[in-house]
Amino acid sequence: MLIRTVGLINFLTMITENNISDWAERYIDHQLNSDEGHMLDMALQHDAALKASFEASVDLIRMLRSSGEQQAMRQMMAEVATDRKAWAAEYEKTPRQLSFRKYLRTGAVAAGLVMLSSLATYFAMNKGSQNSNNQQYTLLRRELESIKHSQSKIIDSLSKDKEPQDQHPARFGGTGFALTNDGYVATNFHVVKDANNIFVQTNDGETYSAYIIARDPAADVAILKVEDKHFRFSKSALPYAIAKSTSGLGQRVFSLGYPQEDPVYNEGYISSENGYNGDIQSYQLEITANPGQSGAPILDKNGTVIAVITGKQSNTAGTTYAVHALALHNLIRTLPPENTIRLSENNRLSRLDRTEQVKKLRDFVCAVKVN
Amino acid sequence: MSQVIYSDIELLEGLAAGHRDAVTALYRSYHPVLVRWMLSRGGMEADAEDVFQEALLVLYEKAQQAEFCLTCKLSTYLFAVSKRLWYKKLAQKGPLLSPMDEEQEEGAYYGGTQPEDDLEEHWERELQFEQLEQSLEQLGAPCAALLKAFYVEKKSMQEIAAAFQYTNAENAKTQKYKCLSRLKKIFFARTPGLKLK
Repeated sequence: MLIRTVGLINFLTMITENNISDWAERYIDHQLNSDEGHMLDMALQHDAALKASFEASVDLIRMLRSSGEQQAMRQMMAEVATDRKAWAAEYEKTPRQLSFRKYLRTGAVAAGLVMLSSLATYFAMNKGSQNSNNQQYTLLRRELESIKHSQSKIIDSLSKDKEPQDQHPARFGGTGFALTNDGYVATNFHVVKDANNIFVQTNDGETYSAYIIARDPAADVAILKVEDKHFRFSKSALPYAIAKSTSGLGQRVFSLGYPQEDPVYNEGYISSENGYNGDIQSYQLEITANPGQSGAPILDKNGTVIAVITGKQSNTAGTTYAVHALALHNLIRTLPPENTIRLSENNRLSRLDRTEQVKKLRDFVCAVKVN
Repeated sequence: MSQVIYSDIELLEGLAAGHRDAVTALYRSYHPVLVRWMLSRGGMEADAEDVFQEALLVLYEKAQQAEFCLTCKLSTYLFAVSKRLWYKKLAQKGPLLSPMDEEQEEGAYYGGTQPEDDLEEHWERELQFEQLEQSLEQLGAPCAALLKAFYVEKKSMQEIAAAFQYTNAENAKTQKYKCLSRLKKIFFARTPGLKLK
């Protein structure tokens, strides 16, 4: 009994500011036996400063440890994230895959037949003399000429767009894409700037009258509304979402636009995060764009609209500029309540392959014609 | 390809213990769903990755607390946290981008676990960790390395003495005390009135 008391006193004198962190450590790790626990309690009760110091030590040691654990966890999660094959196997597989083997035999027979018939056609055609070949060649050239013709016409009319008295329904044009199925369309401001009449021509060739409901000249975006109240782009819902955040360098992108009567597909990548002269509102892209593609949507590989084509650099081939889709969100927010646009909440394109994506997209991209 | 299906409880326990299998399983089950959701809300895949990791971290912290009791499905909780993280991110980008109000609160029934509170706690903790990191920097490299070796890497005093070239373990221990009390001064001077749990 006596010895024990002496021991106790010895220990009591030992708990000081100098070794308090050792006590704190052992306290956290539950290494104090009941006697020691009792001693610690006593010591802290009698000395408020020591108590504060003890508590601070406990907090600090716990925090040091948990911060280390958290860093290890972050590290591990980053590793798992990059180790995609461990967890992403199923959902990265293409959704529909024909089992090739199953159809190999049928396919081979079919291919053989096709080859035979095409060879037969080839010989038949050749027998018919050189003339027919020449004709095809000229036809092709004439078509090229007519394309050239129409393009120079667009450029022509662009240069003197101050004369409104033109009978022709479309003096120049760009591209637009649906923001909603019921006729809100995004395009470039410069496409519709001096317009008397605006027409929207959809994928099925129908033309509808439209008017401007919002514009942002600085960002070069505008929102149009088709006049017809019963207008719908498609029977199905809008398949894409509009990005609320920006994409990084190197992101693969594609676009659908109307440089001619039929929609034209292009693909490329983000070559710089800033646009012309370092414009932070737009991207610089490496993608082909021709007159008429102003206002065309730029989509990333998941089919999210990330930007809108606005222009290209004149002295290089593929350098194109596109304003961030954020500009559209900002513009939508300025709309009066009666025109509020509720954007699509669904992206139906993310798991499809490209041709399927474009097929779904086609209905929602339109030519914008202006006179 | 046979994959073990874990129950919510097993996943939580695995996560709390820092098991890689649990993290992989969580990725497998919930990452694709979140990516799809984020893409539909105008997010990018990189955003989804950030949000998912942050949400897992919140779950990890909660799972370590003995009193944490999940009263809803793990997926529901994880998704609720992710959603709030994404809305916060959007709000930071600009007030115009935050979602329509009705989307904010759609049936907040999580029983005893409140994702909102848990997130607040998480952010507070992040702030403290940041303060700690800065304090360690101010403390200087030798001391910070010594403390990390002991408390984070959990090396023994003998190992530390050898690695840091102290004559013996006892010496290293003394040094550790000194470092810790200096860190204590620096840290609590930075964060007066800090209340930890």
